Amino acid sequence: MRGIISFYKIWFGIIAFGFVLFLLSSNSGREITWNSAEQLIIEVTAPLQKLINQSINSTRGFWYNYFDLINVRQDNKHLHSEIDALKMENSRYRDLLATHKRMQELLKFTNSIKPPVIAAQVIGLDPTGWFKSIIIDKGKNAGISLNMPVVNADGVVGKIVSTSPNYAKVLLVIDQNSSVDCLVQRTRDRGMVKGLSAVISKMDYVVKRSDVVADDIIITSGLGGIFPKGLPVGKVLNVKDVQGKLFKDIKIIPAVDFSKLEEVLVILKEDTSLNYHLEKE
Amino acid sequence: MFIWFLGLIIVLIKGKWASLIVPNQFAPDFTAILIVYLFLYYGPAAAGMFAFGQGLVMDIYSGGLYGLFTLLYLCVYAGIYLGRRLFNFLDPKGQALIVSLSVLLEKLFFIIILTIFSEGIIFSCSFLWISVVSAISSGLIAPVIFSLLSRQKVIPV
Repeated sequence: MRGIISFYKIWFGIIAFGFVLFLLSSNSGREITWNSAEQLIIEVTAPLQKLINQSINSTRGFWYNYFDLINVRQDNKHLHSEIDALKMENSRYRDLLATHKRMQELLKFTNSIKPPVIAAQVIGLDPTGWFKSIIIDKGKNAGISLNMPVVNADGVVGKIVSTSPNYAKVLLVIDQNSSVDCLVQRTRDRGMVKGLSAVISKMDYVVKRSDVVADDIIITSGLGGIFPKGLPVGKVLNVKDVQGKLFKDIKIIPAVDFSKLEEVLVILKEDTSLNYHLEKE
Repeated sequence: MFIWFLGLIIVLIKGKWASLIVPNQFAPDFTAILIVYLFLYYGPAAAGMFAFGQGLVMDIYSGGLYGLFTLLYLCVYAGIYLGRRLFNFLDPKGQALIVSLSVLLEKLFFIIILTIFSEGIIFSCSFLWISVVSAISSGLIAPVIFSLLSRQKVIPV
């Protein structure tokens, strides 16, 4: 009897190990999305995550509000003096706003067909800490599909890598597996931005003759097929010329503060890579 | 069932909680601690199933390779087998050492798998520190959690 049990144990171990190896090898080198079973798990568990997330946010909000109240008297004095300075600044901005409105009208004319966007709330962060991804509360039912770009007011956030009917997973641009084709805004030099950590990314394949310097703005080139051209990705932190290397060593500070990511915009556009594969088939 | 629910809650809040308090990599591995707890009080089969299931859920929510965390939690399971041959499972000190050993084994396999399947991550000195801190903190907190769970009568009658 004991022999039979240990026989089953060994087979169970072999099957479990084989299944894990299959999972690992099946997705190495290419992107896969959630299958039906995984979508079901997400649909069941994500509402719970959303509820927990909302509870944490409201508790944090209450806590911060409490401390804000303590300092409110001092802040009031300080704010009065600031208001006077801001009034003067305001009149200058009114003038700038009028100019901006004119420019915006012109821009509307040139970009008459813009892809629609959909706002989504971040309900979960990557549980491992080693990878950089988020779960958002919009999915296929809202028109979201694979490889759609995700942005916020500051710049590029990431791209959709998995979807279920009501939720989606976003791979952030700061993840080490993420790469975005970019341009240096001032010099127009091309390169690939890859994630290093939550606060620093690197830009590869920028030629040595480029005169990119610290504080240069990095934008998307629009050539990767996912992100539209001109979205801010980050700012150059430092540039090094390493001897014996073909390209410059460039470190970038991401435009988006990923530690305070709460709402994002998903740009609804066709999945061009998917179309390409379908056409090939 | 309660442990499964607890494990699920840990996966769901881990990212958010860790971003508020401490960098996630340094934090104790609560899922590994629960696997050891299940092994201790419910036996190898329950712990194995829990490790497998929680690994799958972690893989779904994580941005990493599919199957990575399933394999890693099975490594924790293997670490318990190894650890209980070396240390006394019933003694709190032994439990702490077994948890630390299991978490260290998990981190070791993590770097091996990523070196094989992913080009982006390479072994560094900081990774070693992170692994050691995580293993020690998991080991230190494990007997406390075991005691709390036992007081809540989350043990088989």
